[in-house]
Amino acid sequence: MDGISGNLASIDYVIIAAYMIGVLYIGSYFAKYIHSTDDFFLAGRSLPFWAIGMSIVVSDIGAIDLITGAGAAYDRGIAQANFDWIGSVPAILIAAFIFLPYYWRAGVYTLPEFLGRRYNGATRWLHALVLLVFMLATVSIMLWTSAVFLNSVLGWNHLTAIWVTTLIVGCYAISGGLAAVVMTDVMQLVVMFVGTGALLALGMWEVGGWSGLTEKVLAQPDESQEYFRLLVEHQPGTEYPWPGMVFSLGLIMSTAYFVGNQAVMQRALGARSEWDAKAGMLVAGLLKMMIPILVFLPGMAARGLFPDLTPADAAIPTLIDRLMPAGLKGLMFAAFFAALMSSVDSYLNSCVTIFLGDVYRPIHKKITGSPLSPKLGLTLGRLLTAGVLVLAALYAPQFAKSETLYDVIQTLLSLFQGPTLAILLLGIFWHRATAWGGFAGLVLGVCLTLVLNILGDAVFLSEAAYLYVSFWSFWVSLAVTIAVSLVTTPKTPEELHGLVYRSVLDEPTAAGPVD
Amino acid sequence: MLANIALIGLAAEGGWWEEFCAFLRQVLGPPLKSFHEPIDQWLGSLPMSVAMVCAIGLFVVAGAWVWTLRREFIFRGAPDHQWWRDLRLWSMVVLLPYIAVYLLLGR
Repeated sequence: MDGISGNLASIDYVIIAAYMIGVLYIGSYFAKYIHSTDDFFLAGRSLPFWAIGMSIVVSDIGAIDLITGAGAAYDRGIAQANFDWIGSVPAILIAAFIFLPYYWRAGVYTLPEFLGRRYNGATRWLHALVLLVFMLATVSIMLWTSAVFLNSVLGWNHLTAIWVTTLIVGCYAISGGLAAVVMTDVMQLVVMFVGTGALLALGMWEVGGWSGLTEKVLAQPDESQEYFRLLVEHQPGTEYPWPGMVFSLGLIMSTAYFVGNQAVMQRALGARSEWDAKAGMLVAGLLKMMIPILVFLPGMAARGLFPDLTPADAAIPTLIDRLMPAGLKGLMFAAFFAALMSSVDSYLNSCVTIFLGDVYRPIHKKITGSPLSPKLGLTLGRLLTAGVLVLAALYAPQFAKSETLYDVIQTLLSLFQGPTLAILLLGIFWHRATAWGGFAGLVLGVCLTLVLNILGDAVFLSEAAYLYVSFWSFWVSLAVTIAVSLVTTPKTPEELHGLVYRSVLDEPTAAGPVD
Repeated sequence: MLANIALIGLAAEGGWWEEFCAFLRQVLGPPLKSFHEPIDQWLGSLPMSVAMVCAIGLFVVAGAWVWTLRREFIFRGAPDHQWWRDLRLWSMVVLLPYIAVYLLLGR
């Protein structure tokens, strides 16, 4: 994060303070409406479609993306946009019109819950464990990113920055639950779009528009038209070869992300109607078009203006430092913090949902013989939110050792995306998939992704090995699940009632969590 | 990547983990590489027009599929059946900019 001078004017501090106060007020406002676990985890199923869509997008885009994504675009060009374009929209339609209605009508809170009902408890536990590790690590990474950002902009000590962020996010996430998280996300999206929009306008104006940008970049040594192409040839040393982008990212990774990401699905499940849930996903699909334009294009503009930046992640901080006047710097700071907090609060709420729903709730029922009461669930939800946040804050400094946090997150995602999608698809669409088939597919799939990540460039042509890891782990998990299912006993039609596709979509909506 | 995996606490950093990774790369690397290499070569030989067809085809197929969904399913949960609540239309509104941008910037 070199490049930001840290000299903010008074107006910048006023804007930052106003933003923080606004977030805290909006978030805390919803505390008075929280009376049950449904209110806390699903916003009382009252969310309108526009809030769902906006929350999904801003939760997806964190400060890491703003810095490292723009830095990657500085280096690699427009191909970076594939992660938000082809890597989002076909999958969003699949999620909106296949999986979301299915989850909605099956009455599930979480994906591990569905996998437990469809397959067995072992599958539920393993999947919940993998998701919890991923989410906890992600929250830690985001808190560390906050520390790096605040250290760079305000000169704060890293630990101070971590705990300030923890305190602010905790104040509204603990009190207001999903409703507070979503509504602050709406505000944060607006702030983020306005801030990055201003940076885009200034950057493109300075570089001379699109024609000026292409002229300046193509004049640089070792640069070619590939910088301005979305689809790049599949050759040794290529960062984002087109088969990886289209077949792995476009089909496997993105679908697994949008149908299996608790943070995304939970927003849709909190909708006031099934129509709002679907429409919310479409709003997210529309808004995703803007992300590369607002985030990656400034990174490319920085390449035209400052061709010798090292590291490339300095692109956005350099643009802010050199181009933005007082006032707008404060707005950009608010935009960064908005992106950061929106991701932290989303993953935090989802992490707690999974822990409470898939780990604690079954244990509680087994020990006490009765389901978890709404009041106790709410209290535990709040305590767990605080606990997870503190745990993530304590672990965050460990990520100081990592150079590329974007790769860490993609690696974490690749550990379970392919196997999850495989057993999910078979579980929903194939009656013959058995409990042990699903479990075997998940276990072997996760083990395979670990091995393939270790092998990395010893096997795969691209440095972005996670593209291929997800692709192959999906097919292997699919094959293993099918093979084991064929030699094990299937569930009866009565046991599958309400779990497979047609039987769910043709029946009225189920309600509430199932222990 | 190895440090990333160790970093997230899946395994302790240090001698035995690095030795294990080196062992895996030595044993599994060559056979898996020889399996994946012909695939890489075939993919590399394909013209970029194939890449364009595949990429844009993904959006087009998704859009075509949406139009096969039943009207009753599309409007389920909506307060009324006004044309502007038809999510099939909105799906097209979402897809068209992406198709346009891939046509313009794909190759």
